[in-house]
Amino acid sequence: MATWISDNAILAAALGCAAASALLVLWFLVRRPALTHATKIVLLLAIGALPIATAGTGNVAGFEATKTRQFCGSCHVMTPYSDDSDDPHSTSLAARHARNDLFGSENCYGCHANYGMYGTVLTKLGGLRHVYLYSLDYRNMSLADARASIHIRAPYQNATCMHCHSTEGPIWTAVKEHASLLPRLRDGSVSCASGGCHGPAHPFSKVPMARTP
Amino acid sequence: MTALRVSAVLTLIGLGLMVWSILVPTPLPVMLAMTVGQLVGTVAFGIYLVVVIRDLRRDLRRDLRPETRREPTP
Repeated sequence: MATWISDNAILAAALGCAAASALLVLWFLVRRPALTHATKIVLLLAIGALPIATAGTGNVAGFEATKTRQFCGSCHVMTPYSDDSDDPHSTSLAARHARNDLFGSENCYGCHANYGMYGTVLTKLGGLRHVYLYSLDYRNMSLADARASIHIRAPYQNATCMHCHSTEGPIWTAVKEHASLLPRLRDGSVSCASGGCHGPAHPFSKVPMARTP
Repeated sequence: MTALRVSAVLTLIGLGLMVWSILVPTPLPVMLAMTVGQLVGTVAFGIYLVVVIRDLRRDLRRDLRPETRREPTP
């Protein structure tokens, strides 16, 4: 915990401001000083400046925390997904991206974030929807039931893959499947994450279809 | 003075929620800190501002009263 905080300047600043503010507030509550100009200035720091600094740095730390796989996996129905990404031997698309330093511990956010102009806002709104659904529907659901009902809300966009894989590099275009499907990959009519290509990204989550007679 | 003590207690509550979200960054603490924590902190600061502005206005009115106004020395 101490290393985690000291490695992150924003967290250290937030906790430092909170501690300083709390000390000054406690001094005011315990010592009950006269309300002089000096006391008012101390209280301006204790009730105004330092808590505002704590809120500002805390918000940044909070938004950063919401990007981590640990945060996503803190809802029990997501633990198979985060465990798969944590597994160094997993060959799923998600796990392979988790082992890439560009994604690392933020691989859920890296692949599921919206990269448009309002991407961050839309992604956070989507996250609020997840919290809403989890609180009402999934909180007491077993993992088996959750696995059968959790699904991606809209078809996965190739544009998200193309944020890193530009489809223009020589190594990428040398793959004959890429070359033959290039227009359909770019317009999204064939998914990069479809079975037989690079998907599914979370193979364990796919419930086998019931066999029809 | 009572209002400022209420403000101080609210500040401690808001700070507690914010620190909880930093130490335990899971959905519930983070959402509580960004909503309830900041609302409580804003109310606390609002109370402080009301008290200080009220004091300043009272001091200003007292200074402007004729019986307390100091005459300039010749």
